[in-house]
Amino acid sequence: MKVGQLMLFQNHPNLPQSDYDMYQNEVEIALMSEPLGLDSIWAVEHHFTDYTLSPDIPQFLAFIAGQTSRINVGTAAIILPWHKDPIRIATSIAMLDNLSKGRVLMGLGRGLAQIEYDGFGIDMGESRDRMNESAAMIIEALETGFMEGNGKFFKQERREIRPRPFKSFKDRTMIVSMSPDTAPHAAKLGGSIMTFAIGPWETRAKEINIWRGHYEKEWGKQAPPTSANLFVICDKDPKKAEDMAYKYMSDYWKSAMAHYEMTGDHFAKKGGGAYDFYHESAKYAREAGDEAMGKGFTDLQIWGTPEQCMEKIMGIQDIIGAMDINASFSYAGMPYDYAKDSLTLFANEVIPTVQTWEAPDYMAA
Amino acid sequence: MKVGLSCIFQNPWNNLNDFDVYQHEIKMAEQAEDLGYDSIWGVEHHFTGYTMCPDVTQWLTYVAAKTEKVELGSMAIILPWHDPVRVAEEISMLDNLSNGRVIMGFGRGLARVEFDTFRLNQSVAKETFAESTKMICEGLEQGYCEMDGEHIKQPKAPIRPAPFKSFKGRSYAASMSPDSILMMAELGLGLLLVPHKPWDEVAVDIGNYRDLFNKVHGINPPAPIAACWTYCHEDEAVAKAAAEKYITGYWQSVIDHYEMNKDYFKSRKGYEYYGNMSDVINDVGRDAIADMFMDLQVWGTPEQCYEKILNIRNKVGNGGFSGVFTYADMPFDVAEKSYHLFSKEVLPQLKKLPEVEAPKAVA
Repeated sequence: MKVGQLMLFQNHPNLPQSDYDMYQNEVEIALMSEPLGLDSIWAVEHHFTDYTLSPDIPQFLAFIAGQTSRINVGTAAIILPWHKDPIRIATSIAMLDNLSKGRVLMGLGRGLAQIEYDGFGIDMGESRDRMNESAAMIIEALETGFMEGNGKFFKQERREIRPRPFKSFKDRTMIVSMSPDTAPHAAKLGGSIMTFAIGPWETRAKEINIWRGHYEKEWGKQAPPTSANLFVICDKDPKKAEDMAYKYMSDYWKSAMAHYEMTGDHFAKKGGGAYDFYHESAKYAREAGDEAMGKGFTDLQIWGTPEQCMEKIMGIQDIIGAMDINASFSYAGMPYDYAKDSLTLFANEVIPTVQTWEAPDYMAA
Repeated sequence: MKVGLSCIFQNPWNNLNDFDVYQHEIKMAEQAEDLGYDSIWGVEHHFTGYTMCPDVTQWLTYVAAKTEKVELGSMAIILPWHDPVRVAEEISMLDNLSNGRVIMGFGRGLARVEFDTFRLNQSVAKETFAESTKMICEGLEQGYCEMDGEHIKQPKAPIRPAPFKSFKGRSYAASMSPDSILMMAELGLGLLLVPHKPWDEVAVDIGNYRDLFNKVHGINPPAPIAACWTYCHEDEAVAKAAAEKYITGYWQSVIDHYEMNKDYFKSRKGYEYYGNMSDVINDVGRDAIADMFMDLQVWGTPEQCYEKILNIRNKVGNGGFSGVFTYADMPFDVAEKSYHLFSKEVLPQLKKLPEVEAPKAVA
């Protein structure tokens, strides 16, 4: 199992600070990853709000690449419908791979927040079609070195990607899938699947299995491990870990709800049903209330003593099958010293063991 | 005078591996700070081996990670090819990651291979450039982008991470034609000069630019920054031979990328100047123009290089000079030697030249 750190760049009211100070703090935590033996550093893409301040992932990863020598750098994920030009993404990725000597992992997603769609002037109802069209073009371009397309949204005259991609992205591409509707599309695009720890792992397992079934039919081989993004708190004191988890993971959850307007009803009927899953989730979120949802979210994550963390990781893998994990350690204005201690303890006492775990065999459902 | 290093990532005839070109430019940039340079620059181009830097802010962010104090300049980001709100975000993010070391330079673009591949109408590039510049410059001061222009429609969008210091006095634009230079004056941008015609003629344009800038903004513009193709060698004859080979070779790659010898510019509004230029190229002949181009650049012994830069400075009053050291398949070790000699012998002399006085606000 591979273990990475996923950076979120939240500027949360729990820890009032300027964006500038937050950036310095997050960079410091990110740069702990390589010496601590992690496999990768990842970032998310978001715009316009406090929720996460990370508008250009390849740019941030170029900074990380410049300060590290071994660790992989990954996007989790580039939100394709917010980019009006797929060829720019392909060239930015190729450039980052040239700068980092081939250390890039590429995650692609379709996005969920109305505020970002509106900010870019893109109809959220078109998200799935834009995502599928753009992803297929990018994946092909990075293999062949040329991009062309004549789809509904992207007309692209055939052009070469420069600097040239110099090694295949086939085994280092992930597609975010958070709903059973997306899983077949992800399988068709190839690469691995990326999931976030939202909703019961059993639910995630269902769509992951759907994806595996489609993947194996499409590509005639066993599907690769799932890339799972989740939240971690590691503390020798189990009570302290629990208190911190319920506080900061819940607060993160609330910030996500606010950003995605998850309790609103704007997901209904969007894109011919492309967001039905979220419409249903939002209904549930409205009924359950913030506190209960925050607690439910926290219970899906990894927290506790090093032993408890290992048990929880094993528990998730038992449910969803072979996986790599990308863990966030700093979020919702958690004090940075605590986040650093938690990361350090996790890296010293959990990661070395987890990294030796072989992927379990499984049969597609 | 401030001195910079410009990295242009050339592989114009596809004789090299793009990857090797990248590793070489990285190596050059990594040495710059210790060698005494004040800034490192990148330029945006796409789809050909002419300049393989599709994302300048990404390059400068990588450089930011490798350095501590050099300034990081874009010469230039070509705004009509971008969603401008993203440019504002990227610039702010780079400034946040680099502790405020950004010099922001914009351009409006010239080659049809780029406009056509991005499916853009080159005839409105001047207008989209002006609207984008206005939105980004205002956005970086006020913290959000908003524009209801003819070409750019942007609902109010906060720039996050937020800009934390003003970009006034460090906002520039690349300009070549006499009419675009005046647009830059109106927009309040400093000038990035890329040599392409006699410096005496450039000086006339700059005089007009300065007058207009002063009239519109009530202050003098910041001193221009000039980038030149540079080759430095102890032996004058060797330097000349290299210039003949590589600087004119670079010029050839310009002709190829921009298709300067074809006449498509004439049918693209705002690019008539380049249409006339292509007539001249065809009339005078490629070789004569290549010689002219070579004479505008900086090559020779260290003393000659210094004299040439001084001569340019006397004509156009540039406060900064940035050297392009690797181009047109010049072997990497040859480029590095020239870079090292220049850094040792010329750069310290240039840095002794008094800085051009900063513009003062009129009370």
